[in-house]
Amino acid sequence: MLSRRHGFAFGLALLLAASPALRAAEPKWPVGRTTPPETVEDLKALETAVGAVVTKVSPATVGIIVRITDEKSEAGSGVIVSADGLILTAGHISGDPGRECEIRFPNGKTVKGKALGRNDKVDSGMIRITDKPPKDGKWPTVEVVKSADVAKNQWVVTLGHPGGYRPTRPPVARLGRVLSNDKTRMQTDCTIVGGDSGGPLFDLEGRLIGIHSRIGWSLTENVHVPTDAFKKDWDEMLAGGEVGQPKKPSKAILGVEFDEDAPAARLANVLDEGPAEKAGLKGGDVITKFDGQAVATADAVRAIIFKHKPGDEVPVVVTRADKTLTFTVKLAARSP
Amino acid sequence: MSIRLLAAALLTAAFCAPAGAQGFYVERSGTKLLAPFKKVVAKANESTVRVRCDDRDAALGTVVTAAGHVLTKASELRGKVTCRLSDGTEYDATLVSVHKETDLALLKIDAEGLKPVTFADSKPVPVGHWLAAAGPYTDPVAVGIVSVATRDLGPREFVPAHNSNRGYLGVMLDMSAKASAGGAKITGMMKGSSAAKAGVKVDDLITAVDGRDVSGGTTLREILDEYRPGDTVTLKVLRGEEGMKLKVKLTPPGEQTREEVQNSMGGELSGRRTGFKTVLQSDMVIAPKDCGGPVVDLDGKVLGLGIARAGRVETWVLPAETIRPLLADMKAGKFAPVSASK
Repeated sequence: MLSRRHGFAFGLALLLAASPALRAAEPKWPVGRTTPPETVEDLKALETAVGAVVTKVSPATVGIIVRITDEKSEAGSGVIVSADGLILTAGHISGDPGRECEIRFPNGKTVKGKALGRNDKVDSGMIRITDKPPKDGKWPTVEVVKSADVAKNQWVVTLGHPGGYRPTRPPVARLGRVLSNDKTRMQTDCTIVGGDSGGPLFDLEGRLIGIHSRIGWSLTENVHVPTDAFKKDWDEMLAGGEVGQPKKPSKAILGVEFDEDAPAARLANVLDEGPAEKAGLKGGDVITKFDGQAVATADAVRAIIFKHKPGDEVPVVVTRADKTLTFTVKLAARSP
Repeated sequence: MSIRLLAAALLTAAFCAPAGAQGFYVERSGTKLLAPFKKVVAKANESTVRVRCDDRDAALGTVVTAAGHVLTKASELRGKVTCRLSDGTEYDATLVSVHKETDLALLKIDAEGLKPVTFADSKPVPVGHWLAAAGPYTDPVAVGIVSVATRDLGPREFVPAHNSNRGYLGVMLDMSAKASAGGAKITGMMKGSSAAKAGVKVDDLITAVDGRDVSGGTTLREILDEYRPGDTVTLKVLRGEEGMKLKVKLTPPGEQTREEVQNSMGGELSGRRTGFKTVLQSDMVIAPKDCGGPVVDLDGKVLGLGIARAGRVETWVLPAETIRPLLADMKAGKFAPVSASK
């Protein structure tokens, strides 16, 4: 009830702000402006813009609740970007593709959703609302724009549900500026905290530019996944794919420890009685070819192992003290 | 290091102290951004005093009568309380009233011709509007926006009042009503309990703290709210028939939830940051020692008092609508102060 009353109040304020007489008196804050407000009039233009953004985008800003067990649940946020119910959120909120969750709207409405794909490395995720759409057939949405167009020091607005969705509290607004912006990581001084994860970051026209992901110790370390990172993986995630490095361990194992600091696929150790040791590999060997493919990193070897089943026999070429040696390793099953 | 923002799950963690909020103040409250706010807070600053306890900055105060009544944040008061005006003169303050529910204290200083604030309604001020927290000099102490307009906290949001920065004994207490007779009964010890180190044992009955009688678990907690980690208390303990006195050095809380850890990332929070029924929520960063002063909108209207730095993303303003009806009673000394100093 409370949030509905608030909604009404904002609507009224907007109406007043939009009336021609007042608009002449109140200059508009340019969306791309990167300098701080210099006068009280500037401050007023900025607050008018922020109020309009919050009114416009709050209906599409949702809380997400994932039940882990009967007693344990985890909470995040998200935002709807298509009328048929596609939600953008953080990858660590949507979770494994197919995972079910509850979606809470600011007006208290609860619907069900299911995780689509994600990119665990950049922390992007998608959820599809699985309930029937509202009567008019459309969920409330926000517009998604290119994050590369967002300038450093541009003013931006954060919404979300810090601490998790609360029925008596509308999405919580915070104002700040973009401190850095690249392909997979945007940082602002809009403060966020647990529960905000997956929530939306907007420019001052109310267009989505990022999704909240993580924080550091200082109040200026608020990290968002830029919308461009979503767009890059869009089709794959929409189809339920896990983009980037798979999170699940491979079924087959080689039985080695890589030297993670080495610039190549160098073995630190081979495990006793493991497939690599049985085949004749030793600590210090550098794998140059695995299953017929040239490899330059440990990750490249892991990616190939991931595609194999336990019991598969794989040719491995290593460099050992200037010698090139070839072995055949029979991959083993990961012990449960 | 950065951490992903999952909420609501319990996690035991031992983190070191946060690095501080310096960067944020530079971005958010740097000279450039603060400049246009000078005009906005000019009038409210004249009604703001620095409240000091035992010669240290403890809070800000809001002048509410020309004759020297000052509202401030009660839970920050300890020891000898003084108010310093912007011209540098410092007055001894008498504690007139403490309203526990709102954490407001009314002080009286022997000054005349002060400039009291006029409270305006906070409820009509919508999300997105700028706020500035007045300070004792020419700048605001913080600026930010209305994150959530003035609201009553619902049952899922309201947390009963307690002081999170208080000192801990590291014991579990029998909090049942029938147990509250003659003392607080110890039912268990936490890991690393300072009380256990001092010789306190399970089943002991604590009957007094520093000479103040304890009638049960609740009064013991209330008394300990006034102490800080590092303080030493003398407990009067009854073990069976035998009475004894034990000295315990209080500690900070041992374990934090993931939510508590994340909220502590970004600077110090107010010890008392719960128990408020109605709040205006803002993203401004008022340091705990700067709570108690007036908060204004761009028109300079006093919407309330900065009452608590409540979390990483929020500062709570006690709305004028809550404060106004209390003032007359507080001036009349209706809410007798519990001894603020120990």
